[in-house]
Amino acid sequence: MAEGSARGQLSLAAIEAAVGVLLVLGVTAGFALSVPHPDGSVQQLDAYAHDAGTVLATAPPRHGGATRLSEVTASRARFERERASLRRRLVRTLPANLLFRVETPYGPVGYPRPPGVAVGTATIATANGPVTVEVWYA
Amino acid sequence: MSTDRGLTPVVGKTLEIGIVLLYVALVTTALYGGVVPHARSDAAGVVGDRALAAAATSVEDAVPAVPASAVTVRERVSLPDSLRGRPYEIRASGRTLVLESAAPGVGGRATLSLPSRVRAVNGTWHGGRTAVVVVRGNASGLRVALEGGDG
Amino acid sequence: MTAAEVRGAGRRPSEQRGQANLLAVGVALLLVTGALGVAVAFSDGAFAGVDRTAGDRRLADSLAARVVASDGPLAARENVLRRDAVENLTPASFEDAFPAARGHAVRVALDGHTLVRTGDATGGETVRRIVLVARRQSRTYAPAFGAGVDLTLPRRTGALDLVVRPPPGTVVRTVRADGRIVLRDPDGLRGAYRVRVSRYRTTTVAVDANGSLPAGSVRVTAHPSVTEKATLAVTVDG
Repeated sequence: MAEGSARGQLSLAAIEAAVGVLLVLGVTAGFALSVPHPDGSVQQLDAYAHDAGTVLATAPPRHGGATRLSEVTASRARFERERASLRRRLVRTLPANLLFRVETPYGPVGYPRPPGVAVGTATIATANGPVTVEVWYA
Repeated sequence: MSTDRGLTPVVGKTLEIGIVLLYVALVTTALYGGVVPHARSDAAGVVGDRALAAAATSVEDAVPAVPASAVTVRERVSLPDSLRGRPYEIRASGRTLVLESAAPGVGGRATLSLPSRVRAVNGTWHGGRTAVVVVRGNASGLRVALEGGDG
Repeated sequence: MTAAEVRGAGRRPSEQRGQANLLAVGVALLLVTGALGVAVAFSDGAFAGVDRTAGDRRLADSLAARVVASDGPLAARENVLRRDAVENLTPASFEDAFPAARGHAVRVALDGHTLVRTGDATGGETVRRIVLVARRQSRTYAPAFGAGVDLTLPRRTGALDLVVRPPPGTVVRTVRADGRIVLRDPDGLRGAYRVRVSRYRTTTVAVDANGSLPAGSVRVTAHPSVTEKATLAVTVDG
């Protein structure tokens, strides 16, 4: 009986200690999980999108038009014809770990955008409407 | 025999309670004396760094990228009202922005990266008041001013 | 069993209980203190990790924007850098061109190769931009010109150098680029000329003369710029 209550007192203190340690560690975990990290990745993605748009907007076209972008947006027929080469050009221009989606007045070029991912955006105005470039990390 | 059994647990429990209370008091004093103010200063310093970086980026973005014959730019800049409850100011010194505050742990300098067309950067922003960056000039010379006006 | 023995037997378990309690409390407090120490160290680490990155990242972003800006000292056009300017950077010339970099450790790299380094910037914040690096080439064409025989340049260029040496008896009157007259002399063109043409289309050169022009009488030199894609990385630490 005496040994049993001695054991009972010990395990009670152990439970108290365990609760105390769990509380403190729980607060620490809250600290660890809720500190937002402004790692500048959205800014970097925006810069990539802006650069991709600038390179497209000043690159010479494959056939006719002033620049590659104006060639692709000149008409729907031109867009359909140049669509694949525009996609290849974007794959070559952007770093390998990025995926992209370009919205033109005639339709999109690129990959579907997954929800909930950080995305960088840039918009270029062309004579036939705005062209929006979106990039995200694969 | 029975008095021995009855007294020791009460004394033991009182001792336990006393020790735990003493421990809580010691830890609270230690935390509020050292760790908590240190953490508050760190947090205020980080917020100040970010506010300064945002202010510097706003000033740099306000300068137009291409030379133009007549330039007038007024851009509103959002700044936090106070840092660690204390007022602060962001001052232009040469081509650098300096963050000054009475709060401990808060401060910093940010070098502005401007084209050589920009001749001078002047002015001060005070935390809690409206902050506007004004760029005036022509193709050969621009002046940037940190003003606190309405607009 | 004597009374003393019974008393002893009764006292020992309760004293054991008391000592065991205090020991348990002591160990429990020690554990809680340990957990507190971990928490404080963690919070210190979290704060230390966020320090300084905001200012460094902003400066890297600003410097990268200045490097690729169209009015920057290394750029030919927006996001197009000149290869000769980029390959001859020294720390001193870099700090002259971008005074905001003075007093900071900056590293500029193109596709991973360091172009210029002022101080030790490892472990700093990096900002990347996509650029084209432009190299000027010279291409000379000297075909035979004649009525209806034109030269179409395969690459775009901003300016043409022409050397006109017609055979004796032939007078070269005009030179057209894309239908626009760029050189005209009724008494005959002879010598070296430089003309500007549109950079936004490929140029067709046509020559008007009162006779046939064999190959070599008109040499056209174009300076197309060849661009290669590269990734510019600007790292700032301190």
